[in-house]
Amino acid sequence: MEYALHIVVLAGIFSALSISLDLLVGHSGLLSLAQAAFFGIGAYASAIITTQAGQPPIAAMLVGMAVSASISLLVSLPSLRLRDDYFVLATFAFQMIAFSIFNNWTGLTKGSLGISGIPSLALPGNRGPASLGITMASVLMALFVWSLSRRISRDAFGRVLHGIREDEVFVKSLGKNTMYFKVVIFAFSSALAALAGSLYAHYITYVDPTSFTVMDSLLIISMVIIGGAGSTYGPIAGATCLVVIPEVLRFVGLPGAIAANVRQILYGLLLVLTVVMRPAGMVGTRPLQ
Amino acid sequence: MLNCEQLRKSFGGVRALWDFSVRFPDQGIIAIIGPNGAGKTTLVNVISGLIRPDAGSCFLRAREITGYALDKIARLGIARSFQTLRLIRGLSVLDNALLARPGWRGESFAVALCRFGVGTEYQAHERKCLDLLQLVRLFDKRNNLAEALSYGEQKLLSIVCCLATDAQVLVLDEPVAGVHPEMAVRILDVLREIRQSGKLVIFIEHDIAAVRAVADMVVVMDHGEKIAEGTPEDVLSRPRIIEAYVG
Amino acid sequence: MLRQLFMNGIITGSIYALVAASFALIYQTTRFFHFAHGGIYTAGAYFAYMLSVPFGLPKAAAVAIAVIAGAGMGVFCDYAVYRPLRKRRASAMALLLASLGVLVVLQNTISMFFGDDLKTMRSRHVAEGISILGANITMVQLGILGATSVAFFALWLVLYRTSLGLQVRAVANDAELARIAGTSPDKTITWVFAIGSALAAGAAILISFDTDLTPNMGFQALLMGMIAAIVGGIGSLWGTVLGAFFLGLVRQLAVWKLPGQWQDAIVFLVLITFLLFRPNGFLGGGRRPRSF
Repeated sequence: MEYALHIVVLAGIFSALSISLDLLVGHSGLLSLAQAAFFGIGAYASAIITTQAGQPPIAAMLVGMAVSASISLLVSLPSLRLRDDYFVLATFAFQMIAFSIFNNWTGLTKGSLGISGIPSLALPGNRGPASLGITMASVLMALFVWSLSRRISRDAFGRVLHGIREDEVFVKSLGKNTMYFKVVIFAFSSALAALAGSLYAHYITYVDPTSFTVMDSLLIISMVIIGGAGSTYGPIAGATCLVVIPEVLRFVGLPGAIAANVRQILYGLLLVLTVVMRPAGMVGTRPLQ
Repeated sequence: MLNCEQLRKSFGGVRALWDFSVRFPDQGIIAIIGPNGAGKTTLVNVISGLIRPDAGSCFLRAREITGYALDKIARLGIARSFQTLRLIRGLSVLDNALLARPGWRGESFAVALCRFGVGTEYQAHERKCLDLLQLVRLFDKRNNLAEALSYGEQKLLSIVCCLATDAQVLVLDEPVAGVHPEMAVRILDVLREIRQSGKLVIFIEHDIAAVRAVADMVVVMDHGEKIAEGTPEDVLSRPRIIEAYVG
Repeated sequence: MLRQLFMNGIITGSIYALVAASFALIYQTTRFFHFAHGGIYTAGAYFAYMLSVPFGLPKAAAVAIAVIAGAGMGVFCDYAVYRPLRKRRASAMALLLASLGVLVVLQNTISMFFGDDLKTMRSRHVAEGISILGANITMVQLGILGATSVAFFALWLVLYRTSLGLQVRAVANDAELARIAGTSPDKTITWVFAIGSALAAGAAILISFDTDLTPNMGFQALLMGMIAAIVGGIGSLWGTVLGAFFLGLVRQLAVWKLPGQWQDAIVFLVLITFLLFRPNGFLGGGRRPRSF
C-alpha cells in the first residue's frame, strides 16, 4: 500500500512537471533544457524557507513560484527575440549554471550536502497516515496544474500559442506581439515547475543538487515527447509510464548501481524511437512540429 | 495614406531597392508589377516591417513607421499576405480567421487564466469572421483544416485573415499567381469588394490581365527603381514597358 | 598571476575552440543542434582511456583508434537516426530531440560501464613545467596546444583547399542548390559528421591528458563549444576560434576572482550579453539570427 502511494506521489509530481514543460514544447514549439533547474528552484525555495526561515509550506511554495518566474525572464528576454535555437542554447546554459549554483553556493543551499529535515505534508488535523496527506497533495497539485494548462491552451491565448508553434512570422504579421506570449508562457511554465519542486521537497524531505541536473531536464523532455507533446493526456501518460518503469525494473532484479543507468538508457532509446517512428507519442494525435 | 521615400535596400552587392519613392492614395487598388528580381517583394517586406531598409523612410498617415517591427506595423493598420502562402495549416479555416482578429481580451494572460467573459467576446469575433468567410464563399469549409483547402482557397483564406485584422491597408504578394482561372476571378471580385469598402489594396502581380481588370493605378519596378507610374491603360501601352515585360 | 591566467586561458580556449569548430561545422551543414556531439566527445575520451589503461595499448595507438571510433560513432548516429528523419523532412526540433535521446543513451552507457568516479589517463609523475613569458606551462599542455594547432590547420586545409571542403561549404550555404550542382548532400553530411566527430573525440582525448575523465564531461564541453560558436559568430571559423579563446580567458578570470558558485554564471552572462548586443558574434555575418 505504501509502495503504491509512493508511485502515485511520484506520478503526480512528474505529471505536473511534464505538463509544465509541455506548455512550452507541445503548445508553443519552444524546447527548454532548463525545466529541472526551475524544478530545483522550487524545491530549494521550499527547503530553505521551511527549514531555515521557519515559514509555512504554502508561503515557501508561493515564493518559489515567484522566484522561478522572475528568474525565467533572465533567460527568455535576451534569447526569445532571436531564433529559437538561441533559446535552446540559453536554457541549456541556464540549466548548467543553476546546477553549479545549487552545488557551490554552500551558504544558501549547503551544496552537495543538501538540505534535510524538510517537513512532510500531513492531512489537516494530522489524521490518517502521513503518507496519505502527501499523496493527496500530489494528486491535487497535478490536477491543478493540468486544469490550469488546459485553460491557458484553449481559446484566444492558446490559439496564438499554437500559431506561434507552426508559423511565428505569420502570427506576427497579424499584429500579435509574439514575444509577450513566449515570455509569459515560459514564466508560467517555470512557476508550475517550481510548484512541483516544492512538493517534491516536502515528499522526499531532503533535497540535493543531484536531482536537478541537465540529465534530469532531458528526462522530463523524454516524458513529454514519449507521452505525446501537445496532447491533453500525453504528458501525464509519459510521466506515469516513466515513473512506473524503474519500479518494474526493480522486480527484474538489476543491481542498484546500474539500475539508474539502465532506466535512463531506456528513456533515451524510447525518446529516439518515438521521434523516429511515432512522433505523435503514446497518446498524441499530432506529429511534432 | 502610405508614402515611401527614397527607399534603399541591398543584399550583399545586389540592389533590391534604389531610391524608390511612391505615394499611395487613401483607397483603391494599386498594382505593382515588374520583371523577376525587380524588388517588388522587397518593397512589400520593407513596408510591412519584415526587413529594415538601408536608407529611406515610410510613412503611414504621416507617421513614420520606418524600421518598426512586423507586428507593430500590422497593429498600426497594414496587413499583408506572403508569396509563400503562410497560414496555420493545423488550425481550421475559422480558427485562422479568429486568430487574425485584433483586440482579444482573452489574449492577455490574466484573462486567459480566469476566463472571464470569454463567451461573449468569442461570439462577437466569430460573427465578424463568419461574415468574411461568407463574403469569399468559404463559409461551408469553415471547420475544415486549412491544410485541407485547395491552393486557391488557401489564398482566399489568407486574404480573409488580412481583412479580419481590420487593417486599412492590405498588401498582397501575388494573390492570383498559380490559381485556377475561375478562382482568379473569384479573388479579383473579392479585391473589388474590398475597394468598395473604402480600403487600400496594394498587390504584386505578374498576371497583366488581372492588373488591367482591377487596378486603378499601376507602379512599374525594375532593378529596384520605379520606372513608371499611372493608370493601367496609360502605363501598359507604353512600348518600353511592354518590351521589358512581354518582349 | 595575470600571465599565468592568460596562459591557462589559452590552453582551455584551444580545447573549446576545437569543440566549437567541430560543432559549428556540423551545425552549419545540417542546420540543427546535434547535442549528441557531447556524448561522442565523452565516448572518445573513454575509448582512449579504455584502450590505454585497462587494455594497455601504447598511447599513440589508443588515441588513433579512439579518434577513428569517434568518427565512426558520429557517422553511425547520422545514418541510423538523422538520415531517416531528414528523408521524412523532419523539423529541426525533431532532429534535436532525437539527438538528445542519443546523448542520454551514450552518456548513461559510459556511466554504466565505467562508473561515475574519476578516471585518469595522466602519466604518473608530476610534470615539470617550463616557463614561457613568465607563465608556467607543462609539457602536456604544450602538447595540447601543439595538437590543437595541427588539428585546426588540418581542418582549414580540408575546408578551403580540397574539393570535399568546397562541397561542405556549398552544402552549408544552400543544400538545395548544392544538390542541383551535383553534390550529394547526404554524402557530404556523412563526411562532416566523420570529421566533426573525430575532432570532438580528439579534443576530449587531449584534455584527458591534463584533467580527469567523468561521464558528464561532455555537457560542459558542449556548452562551451556552442557558446563559443555563437559568441564568435556562426559561419566564421576564425570567429569561433576567437570566441573560444575569449571564453577560456573569461573562465580563468572567473576562477581567480569569483566565488565557486558564480564561475559558471559568468559564462552565462557572456552569452546573454552577446545575445542582447551582438547576436551575430564577433565576426559573424551572413545568416541573420532573427526568427525567420
